Amino acid sequence: MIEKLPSLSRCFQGIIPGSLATCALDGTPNVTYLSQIRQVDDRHVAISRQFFNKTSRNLEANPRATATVVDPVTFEEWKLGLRYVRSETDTPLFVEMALRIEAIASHTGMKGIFRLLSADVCEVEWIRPVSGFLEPAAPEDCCEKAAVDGPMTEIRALSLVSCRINRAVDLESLLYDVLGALDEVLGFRHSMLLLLDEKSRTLVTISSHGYGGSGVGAEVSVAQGLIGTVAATGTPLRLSGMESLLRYSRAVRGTIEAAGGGAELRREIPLPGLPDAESQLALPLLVEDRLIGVLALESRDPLAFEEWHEEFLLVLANQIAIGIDRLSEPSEDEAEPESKAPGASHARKPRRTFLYYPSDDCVFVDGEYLIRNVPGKILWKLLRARRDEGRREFTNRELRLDASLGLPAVKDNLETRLILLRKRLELKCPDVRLVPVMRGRFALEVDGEIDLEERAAG
Amino acid sequence: MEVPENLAALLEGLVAVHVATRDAALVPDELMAAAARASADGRRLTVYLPVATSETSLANLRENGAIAVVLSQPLTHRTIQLKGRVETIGPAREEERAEVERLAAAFDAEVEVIGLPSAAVRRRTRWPCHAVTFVVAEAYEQTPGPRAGAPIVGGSVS
Repeated sequence: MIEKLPSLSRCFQGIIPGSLATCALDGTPNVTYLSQIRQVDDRHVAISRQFFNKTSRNLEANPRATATVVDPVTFEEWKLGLRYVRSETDTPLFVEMALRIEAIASHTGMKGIFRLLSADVCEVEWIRPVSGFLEPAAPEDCCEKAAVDGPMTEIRALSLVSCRINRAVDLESLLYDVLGALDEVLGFRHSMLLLLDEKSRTLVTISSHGYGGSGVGAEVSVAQGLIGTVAATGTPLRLSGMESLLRYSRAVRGTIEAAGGGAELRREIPLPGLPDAESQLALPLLVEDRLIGVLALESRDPLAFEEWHEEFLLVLANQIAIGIDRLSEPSEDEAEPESKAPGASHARKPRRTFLYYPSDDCVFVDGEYLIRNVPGKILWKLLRARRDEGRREFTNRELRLDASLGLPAVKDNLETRLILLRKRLELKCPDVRLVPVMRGRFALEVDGEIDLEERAAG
Repeated sequence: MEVPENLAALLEGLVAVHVATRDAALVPDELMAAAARASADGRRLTVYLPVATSETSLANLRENGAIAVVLSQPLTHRTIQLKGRVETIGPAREEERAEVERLAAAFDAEVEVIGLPSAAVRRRTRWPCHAVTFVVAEAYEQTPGPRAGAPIVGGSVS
């Protein structure tokens, strides 16, 4: 038995599938690719068992196995002598490995079909690099990543992000500044914050960084994909080498469809954000045990997120969650609304048609989807109050007191819903704006004419 | 059991080749081959094992001859496994080198598309090799999924 397993975390990220040789009692060897292998502790690894197969039967009969893994950066190969110990099906290790597989499966419409049967734990009896696998490198061929990560970066990042959270005067500036800080200090170019809408059990993108301003308003159901899985479980999840994982999952899907079992497959859902993301890290935003939302990071680099990022960003995610929660509280100085007469004429300005479907509180503008759910209901209330009563200014307080909006009595996330509404208007309909006047009060500004129409069904 | 009729067609594009052997105590060994070629009669497979990395596997093959070979296309994960007993083991001949290099380069090109660093990938040792030939006695579908492990008969999964 070895004393301590050396760190092979890059080899275990699944970018290059490892392989596993076993042997039946009749002496027939077998070799297969490993979809997932991960380190359990200093002396054990776990391999994923997704289908009952020859490997499983061989391990039950003869526990000796040899695994080969490859470092995706240096392409060096390592060989591990293994002895199968046990299969786990209801342990934290199993849950963690199953989550990774679930997340990949739901991206490819394979949820429930492509799933982990057990985490097979093996003792590592020996480990050694495969000498001679690579020919000696010419000096210019060196491809090791420069060591840019370190304690100083961590401390600087923590300090900067904490500072941004503490100095934020409102929720919108917090959401914007935090993602910018993650880019500045840690180089995470693509990130988004999604907040939980308790009522619809969806996560709504409230702020994004590195997607050219797009993505705000995008929704993910709880338990759907990587982000939804993180929300459902409250556990961070890191995927690397996503292309190879997705290819693997699609290969499975292909064999099921070829076998005539495709009817039960759902349509594949697109990954949010980068179309060519190679790695993703998603972390829950928790205040005590209450889920606020999810912080999601993406990169085109398959090795962008390492284990220490996950641990470290959890600390930051906690602070972000507390900051969001603090700034989502109703302010004490929310004033009563003022009724104002209609303003000046808006002749020669654009004419917009807003269409509202009460069945799902969905609003379209000029035939294009704008927003739905509670923010859709709020927008419709504001537009009608403007048309019917000539209102121009509104307070958060009156929205909170309006039972027809269906806001929960506590933790109503009204501020985040208004930010989402404001951003969607900026994107789809910039001549209709929600402009903050003071804390807890905002104005509805309209540059042109608007028509309102309500339809029973979509 | 019956084996595929057209082995060469079945192997088209399967450029990643891994070989399993075992010793007298049934302890398996595994290594990556430089290349694999089907024989003209479609009944035999020759795998080219780099001399630099195949010491244990060669000793196993000389001792008992039991071999399993998994061949895969990295981009699609299409995979099959062939099993049998070794007939001949010998140094790969110089006239085989060009074909081995061509097949190894096909693997390099495919994994470079995936994004692996080409400077490192191309350093993989591929010559000199031992040429190990066996009669294909068993063939299995191995593409990940519920059909993995099904025997292949006459060129299709049974």
